[in-house]
Amino acid sequence: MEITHEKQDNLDVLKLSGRFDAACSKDFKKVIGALSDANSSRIVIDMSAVDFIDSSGLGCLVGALRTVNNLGGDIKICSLRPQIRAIFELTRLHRVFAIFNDRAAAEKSFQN
Amino acid sequence: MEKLKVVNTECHGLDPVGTIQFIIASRIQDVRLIGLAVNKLCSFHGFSEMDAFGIELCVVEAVTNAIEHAYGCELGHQVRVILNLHPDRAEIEVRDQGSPMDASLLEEAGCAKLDCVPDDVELLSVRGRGLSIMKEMMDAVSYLQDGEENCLVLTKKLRSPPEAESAASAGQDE
Repeated sequence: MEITHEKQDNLDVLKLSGRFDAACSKDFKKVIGALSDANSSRIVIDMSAVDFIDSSGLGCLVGALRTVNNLGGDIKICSLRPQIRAIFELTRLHRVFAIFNDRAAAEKSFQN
Repeated sequence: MEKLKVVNTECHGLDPVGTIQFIIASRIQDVRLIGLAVNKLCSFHGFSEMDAFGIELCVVEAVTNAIEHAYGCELGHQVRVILNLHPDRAEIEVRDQGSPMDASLLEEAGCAKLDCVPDDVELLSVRGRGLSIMKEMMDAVSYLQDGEENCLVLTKKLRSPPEAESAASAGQDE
């Protein structure tokens, strides 16, 4: 999985692409750890280019949410493909994460 | 470098049965190779895109569990995956020779477990969704010890196209 980090004025956007599985969980945790160390706690995760996610990937997202919540921030997820959204719904994690149809809506939600 | 080994291929078409066996080393990076292959073969067999994706996901979960839990992420072991394509279903055996799984975990897994979503994210489990995903996505999941091997068997019925379409649209309506 490729992780692209874009720093904006008051938030960080992570664009993920490829497969989000156990093989890339270390890389993802490293990126979240670096953001946490920098006290970045407003994060948008753009998953428009993620074509596969398993329970390891979902677990990484839950771990990241815990980390960011402890800093007083939040993670907003956007642009899930139908198959990926189905996995969020199956595991009920759509009740845990704020999920938006597109990146602009996710970014805007931090302004509210 | 040989990452994935196809040790036996019997191509009989769709009728009566096609069987293929994959063996990977216990490297988490190689799990996706089996997942991708199984997805393609199930699509070829007539499964819908969503069902083939679900089968891929369940196979990835099962092989990952074998590497992480049965072998404790130790290198130097093997995981065997046997895909049996029957006219009416796919049956996948995931076999390892590591520590056996506590069978009660499979009994406890499923919808009720997934429904337990605490309000406090701190109490939300980071791990442990794999078996529940398998039980929810497949028509049957069973676990047995076969000699020195542990074997998880995943079964998915092949739905007729109208049935698959209506299931897909019902999923979108929810």
